[in-house]
Amino acid sequence: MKADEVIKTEVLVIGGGIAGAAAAIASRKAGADVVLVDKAVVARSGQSTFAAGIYAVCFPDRDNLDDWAEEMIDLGEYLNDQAWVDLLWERNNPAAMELDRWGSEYGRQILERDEKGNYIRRKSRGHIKTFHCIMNSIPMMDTLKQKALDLGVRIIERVMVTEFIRNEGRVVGALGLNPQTGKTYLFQARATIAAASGAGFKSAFMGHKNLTGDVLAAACRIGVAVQNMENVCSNTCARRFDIHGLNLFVNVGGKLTNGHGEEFMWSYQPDLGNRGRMQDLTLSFCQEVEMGRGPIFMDLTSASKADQALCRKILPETFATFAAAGIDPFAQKIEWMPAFMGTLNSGGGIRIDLEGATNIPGLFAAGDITPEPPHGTYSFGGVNIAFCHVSGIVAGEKAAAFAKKEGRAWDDRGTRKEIQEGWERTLAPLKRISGADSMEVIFHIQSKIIPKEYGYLRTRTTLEEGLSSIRAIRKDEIPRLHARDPHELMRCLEAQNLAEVGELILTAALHRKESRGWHFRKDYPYTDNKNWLKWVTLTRREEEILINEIPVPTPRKAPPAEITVPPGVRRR
Amino acid sequence: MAIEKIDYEKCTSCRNCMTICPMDVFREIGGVTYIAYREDCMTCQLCALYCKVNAITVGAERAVPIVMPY
Repeated sequence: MKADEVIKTEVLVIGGGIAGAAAAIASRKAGADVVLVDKAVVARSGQSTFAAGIYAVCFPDRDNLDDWAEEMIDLGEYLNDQAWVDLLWERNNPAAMELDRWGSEYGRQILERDEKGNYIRRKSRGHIKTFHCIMNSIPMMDTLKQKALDLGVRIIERVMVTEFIRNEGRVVGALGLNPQTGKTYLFQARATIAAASGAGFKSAFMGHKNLTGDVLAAACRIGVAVQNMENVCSNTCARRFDIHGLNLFVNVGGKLTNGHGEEFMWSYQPDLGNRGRMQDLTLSFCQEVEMGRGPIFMDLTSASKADQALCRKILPETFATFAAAGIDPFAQKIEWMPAFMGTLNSGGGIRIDLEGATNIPGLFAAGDITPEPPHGTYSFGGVNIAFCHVSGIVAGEKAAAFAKKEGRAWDDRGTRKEIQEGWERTLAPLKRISGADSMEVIFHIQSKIIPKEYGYLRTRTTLEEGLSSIRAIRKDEIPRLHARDPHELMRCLEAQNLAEVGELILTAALHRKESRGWHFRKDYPYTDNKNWLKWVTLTRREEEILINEIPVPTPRKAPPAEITVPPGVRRR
Repeated sequence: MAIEKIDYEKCTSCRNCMTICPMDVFREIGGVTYIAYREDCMTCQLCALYCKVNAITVGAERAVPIVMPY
């Protein structure tokens, strides 16, 4: 089959959040022709658009960089790539300042300032010696989109990338599909940057339900190695509806209370309490509920008038939802729960080196599709945006250089078979006249990934059962998925990708026999630095998953003891 | 529940909602934009916030049940 449109470029960027947009701009500035393709709309979709207002920015003239690096490594539970930690803080401030300046040039305010014109800096989730700035997310993304277009980046929206195309072991392009028109695309590129985020499993929380690990799963199908897949992330959210803003809420004095009215987080995280890291919060929520002390509430009733106004300004979508529900969060407690986010945020993803390169030549990765290597398990708030931004710039620069130096001319004959097979896989659900409903299959997948037995407080028994169920879904339900139109086809492919990513998550979780980060094993309830200071990587070979362990180098800082207490354990 | 309605007294068929919806919920037929895939609405409110004539109502509740952690 021939694609409806063939698009040739030097650098193809997949995903238009902060990482993808920054990568496209960096590649363009390095002199490459750049095409950026997004499944939805740049600046109106993805996690960057819905980022709840915090960006960790280090100021070398007043911050001690060693303090920042060491705090990040301590809080990231030593699973950090420490070389990436140094690279992040080296490039973070110039990148953030440039972005803020571009915003001013276009008449937009990205980072909030006080009345004297100084950047507002605060502490929220996890921060001890570190700080974050307060960011207006949509103006930030509008600025990056405008900059990319002004520099000559070609942006193609509403195209879901479904498969990578290789030639002689290198990535040379990708297939795509428009879910509104059904139009098909063949992208031919000398270098490709995967920056399309991870898999959020269409769970609770604001704004991530179209992030279903499509590009992550496609990368795994061609043998790209992934890392930290056992580390699945959660934010927290209202139980009844999908909102964001936890970071800002705890920053303005929000308290988390249990069913007995206790501010229980101080028992689990004596240093930070309600401002604990997300793994502290979500695992503690599950433990409290398991002990019969649920439900959990967010209590914002003590926020000052000024902080209430700040929350409303930074979180317009959240407050539109509160208004629709007829709830004033500053007047009543809200029932709160873990919001499962899968490989999003600091969850696992494509393993990259310091140049953003993957194990397959021609393919680079940036942003949340990676395991966010400097973060470790999860360190402190605002790092995600900071890392996505810097990793985008790094991958953009390196991909442009690769395209100029090592990229090869398109080879029709060498790519024909893979393109043919790719289209067959992509379009199969449309060709079935009946079959399984994608919404139902997605619900089945969620039910083996999100419940606390699989996602939070795990045991060997629950993980084995979950893995065998996900494999059964892959074998029995995915091949029967049926779509009546291109939109439903997108949803069928999302279900397929979620099942594939889910299998990787449970495989890694079963392998890691200790507790660290979000990965809590009730059968191994301690952090074992002697045996498990390792990254677990997975690589697909056809239907087999190869597991590898890589010792984590600790040039800056090593763990304080062989055995330590992980998040989610009540300490007093 | 999730996206509830488009008020056609106000709607100018500018298609902005269809252009920006991250979940691809809208379709258009004969110049009329309609809610085609309500089940995919993620209540992000962007269509309502960016509708120039306030024609769109998005409720707070989720469109479809999701699996909870507990």
